[in-house]
Amino acid sequence: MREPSSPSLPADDAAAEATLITRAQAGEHAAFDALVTLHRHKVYATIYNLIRDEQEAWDLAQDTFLKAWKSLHLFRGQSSFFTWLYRIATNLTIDWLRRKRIEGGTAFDDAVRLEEIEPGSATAPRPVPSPSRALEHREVGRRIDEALALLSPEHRTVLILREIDGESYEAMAEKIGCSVGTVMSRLFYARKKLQAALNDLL
Amino acid sequence: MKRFEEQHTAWLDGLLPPGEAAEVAARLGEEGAAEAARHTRLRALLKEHLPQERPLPQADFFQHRLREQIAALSGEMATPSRPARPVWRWRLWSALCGGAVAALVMTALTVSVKNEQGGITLAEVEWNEEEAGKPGFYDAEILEANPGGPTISAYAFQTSGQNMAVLWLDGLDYVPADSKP
Repeated sequence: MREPSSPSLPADDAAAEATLITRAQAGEHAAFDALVTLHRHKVYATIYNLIRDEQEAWDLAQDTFLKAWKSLHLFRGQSSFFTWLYRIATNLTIDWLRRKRIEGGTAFDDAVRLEEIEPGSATAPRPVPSPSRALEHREVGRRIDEALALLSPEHRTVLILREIDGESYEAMAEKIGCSVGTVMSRLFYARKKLQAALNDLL
Repeated sequence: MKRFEEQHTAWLDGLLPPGEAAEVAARLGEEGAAEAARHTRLRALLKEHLPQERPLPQADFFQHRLREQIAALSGEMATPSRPARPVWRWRLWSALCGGAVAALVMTALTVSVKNEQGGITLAEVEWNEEEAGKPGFYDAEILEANPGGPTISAYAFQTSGQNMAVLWLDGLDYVPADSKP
């Protein structure tokens, strides 16, 4: 698996972070507090990108750091601290999505969407006049937000994990609790839908 | 044998063996090349517009709440960001809090009497003489209270038609035996 991209820390910062981790592992709350301050915006963005809900993302970020505190003794430094946090955050978020699906009774089913997009269909641009260069950066961002909101949580999850975080199919399948084939199938439809929604920008 | 969707996904991600990839590309023809180009553009757009950092709303409260939860987990009352206090300061603070609680208890037990006698110091009850005695109108308000701890709270409310205000204290473990109205 490729590590989730995060700005690599300068050597001094990395050393400072390593010190904070050691102190936090020794039970020093203030050191963990400083680690939270360092990573809270990235963790929040990771979760928000997956669920598009500020309040829930806020709560899940709390759960992420709380779980990190409880499991801190297990962190061995084999990956970066953010990569470790990222795994906790995405696992918690996917669990939350799964529970929400069960509670809401809105079972995700790829087949429901099969009628909307044929597997072999082309996503050729429709005759929409405005090219992407005519749109402001913010407008493009808004369009992407809207398009992502159209996706089911399961489609959005695999799309973000793959396209933004660079997760492998196998890692996604393990996290989500489904087969690699299901992950690939969901990715296929998620891409088709997103391309269809944003075709005038592509 | 892979399903079409799986094969197509792996092809877009460049994860098919060369022979199989060429087979898929040949099958899709010109549309395949166009789709691959659109996918590249889509991936770039997503990376550009989905921030890897996003300002956390109410960040200070976020940290505060997290500290509380961690302190609760650890069975400690101290918050991690504060330096440890000297023991003597903690004892002095406890004594002051204890005194404040005791004073508040005495006030609670004497408030109805003091309404007639006047002069409540710690928790003062405001009394509206003109409206006294009218059913359902008895003004009682805590103007100042120092409960002495985060778990102790005080409320004032009326009892209709009985000319009595009640000062209700929550969170006290006990009332001192020598407290008398």
